[in-house]
This record gives sequence, C-alpha cells and structure tokens, in this order.
Amino acid sequence: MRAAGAAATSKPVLSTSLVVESGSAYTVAGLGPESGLRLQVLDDRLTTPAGEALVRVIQASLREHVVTVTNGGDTVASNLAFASVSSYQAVRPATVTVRVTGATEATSATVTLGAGTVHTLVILDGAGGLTVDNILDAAGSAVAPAGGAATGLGGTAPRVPSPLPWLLLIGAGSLVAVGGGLGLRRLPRARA
Amino acid sequence: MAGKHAAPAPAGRRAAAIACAAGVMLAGAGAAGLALTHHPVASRSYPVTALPAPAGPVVAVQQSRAAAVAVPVALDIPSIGVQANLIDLGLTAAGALQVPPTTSVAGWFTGSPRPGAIGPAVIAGHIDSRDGPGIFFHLSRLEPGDRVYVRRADGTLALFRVTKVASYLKDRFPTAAVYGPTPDAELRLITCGGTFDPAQGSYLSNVVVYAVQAS
Repeated sequence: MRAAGAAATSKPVLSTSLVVESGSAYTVAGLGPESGLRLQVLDDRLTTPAGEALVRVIQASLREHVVTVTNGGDTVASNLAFASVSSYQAVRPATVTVRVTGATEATSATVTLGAGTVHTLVILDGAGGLTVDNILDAAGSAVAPAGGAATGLGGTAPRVPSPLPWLLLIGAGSLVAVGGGLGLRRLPRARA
Repeated sequence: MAGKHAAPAPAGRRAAAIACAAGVMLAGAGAAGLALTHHPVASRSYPVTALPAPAGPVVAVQQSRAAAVAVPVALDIPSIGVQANLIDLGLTAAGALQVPPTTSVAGWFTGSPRPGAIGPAVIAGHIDSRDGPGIFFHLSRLEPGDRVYVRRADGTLALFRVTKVASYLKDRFPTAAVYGPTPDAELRLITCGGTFDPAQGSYLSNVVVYAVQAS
C-alpha cells in the first residue's frame, strides 16, 4: 500500500501477501489507527442466495469504537469493534434505511440493495459525525432466466438433403426388377 | 410340342432376366445413394466483413461504485462486422430469456446490469432466421482479445475485451457463470449454435462470449 498517487517504484507504506485463487475475489483493506495501520485480506463473496442481496460491514470509525448496524428490524452487524469486519448477511432486496449506532453518535443512510448484489458498508468518521460508504463488491442479474436462449430459427443450419431422388430410384429399380421377375416366371423355360 | 416353339422363349427370358438384374442394381444404387447422402450439409457460407471501430468517447465508470450508467442503445463488434441497435429484453412467461423479434437487432436483458456497471451485462441476438444469417451469425468466430463496444444513451462507449468463447448444450446452460455476480464490469453475448433440431425448430446449443471491460 502506497500513498495515493505515489510512484509504483516508491517504498510502500504497508505490505502484505496473499494467495489468490481463480474465480475468487478479495478486498485488501488498510485497517487500524494511523499509528498501527495494518493490511487485512478479506474474502469477498460472489454468489448470493437466489433473489437476495448480501451485506457486510467494515467498522472504520475511530470516534466510535463499537457500532451496531441495523436494517429495519434486522441486525446486520452487532457490537462491531473498530477495525473489524462482519460476515456477510443475506437480506431481502429493497431500498432500505441503514442505522448505525455507537456509544454517543448515530446516523442513518439510504442504500439500495438489489437482488444478486453484494455490498460492503464502511462506517467512517465524517465532518459531521458517522458516515456510511456503500461499496458494491459484485453484482449479477436480479433474476436469472431459466435455461438457454432461443436465438436461432435454423435458416443457415446444415441440413440433410432431400431423400426423394434416391427413393424414386429405389422405387423405379424395384418396379423393373419385379417386372423382370414376373416375365421370367411367365415365359416358358428353354429346352436344352 | 413346346420344343418346336423354343426359339422366342430364350430371348424373352433373357430380356426379363436382364431387366430383373438391372432393376435390382438400380434399387441398390438408390439405397446406397440414400445411405451416403443422409447427413447434414452446410447450406452455404457467408463472408465476414470487418468494420472500423465506432467513433465516440470510451468511458469506464469507476469500479466499486453503483454509479448511474446510461442505458445501452447499440452494439459494435468490428472484427465480425456487427453493428446493431439494442432493444430491451425481459423474461418470457415461462421464465426464459426473451429474444429479439427480428434477427437484425440484438437485445439487452434489462434484469442484468447496464453495460459498464459492475456485473455481467447480458446481450442476446439471433444466429439466423428461417431464411438466412442473423446479427450474431459470426459470434462464435470471436477470439480472446477482440473488442466489443456498447454505445449508451448518453453517447459514451463502453469497451470490452473478449476473454472466452464457449458452447454449451441448452439443457446444461451455465446460468451462474452467465448471470451470476462478478466484481467488475463484464459482458455476455449469447446466440445459438451446434446442431439444429428441425422437429423442435431450435438449435440444441448456445454460444456464449465472455468479455471484461477494458479501462
């Protein structure tokens, strides 16, 4: 991690290493007080339960050491300590008012949680108190269509040629053969 | 008695025998022809006409923000000569993906993210009509790295690079890979492919092109 805009050759402020796997997503977050900032590797989720959204919370407020985050009557993160991260919660998709409550401060934010979307809410200290930063980790289709797509009518598909000429040939040949056979039977046999 | 009339009989019998043998050979030839030609043959080929890249500002929205991205209005795939307007697609009564009513336009599935927003935007188009090639006839010829442009209602372009082209039997369609969440702005192009089943009037496979937004 380097200061914003610093050259890629400059000495990093913080470093960490992680193992990345194909098909997985990760968030590397610098968490902690300025004097003790450390990098944490968070496993992001890329699949939601069908028709639902996923939400997790990163508690990054220095003024409020412990916060509770609720969405209507549901608790998204309870007594979350500074510099820690909640696990993902599945929620019904809606535009909701998220309430953040600390020991002395509280705030609320309106966030839209669509079906098939994965969110991280970062609780921060703003000039006027707590703020909520809604980060979209991943998104997919709200409703996945069933099966494949009927996107062709066959006008250019390879086809089997008509068997008619060959069937006519078989028919004609059979007629001639049967005619010949009948002739053979009707005509007298030659004497030796 | 019959011996006295023996002369015409051998000629008639010989003709009848020849006719019988010739008839059997003809019928045999017909059966052989039927067996040898009873497989699909490509009707004809259609050349690819490459097009220049579309003009306009390529704009990539900052990732990790559910920013307002304008709706898509047109699709350009220069390498395979695709230049098409986009219509909106929803779901059929059976819950399947709607497809465009004509083969000269492609359609964006409105349940998927907008092209350039986070997630896989899904665009479908026909490989053919009953009579000839459709807008996505050459889709399966795309290769990793090929450019795909989506023009949006505000005049900006989203630029994607192909990462994978795959064909799947429709009854094994990879729903999660095509419609499931992704952490970045991606694109899926869908058309038909594989064997055409005349009884059902449909192709048995889908071709899916995967692409990722180039910044």
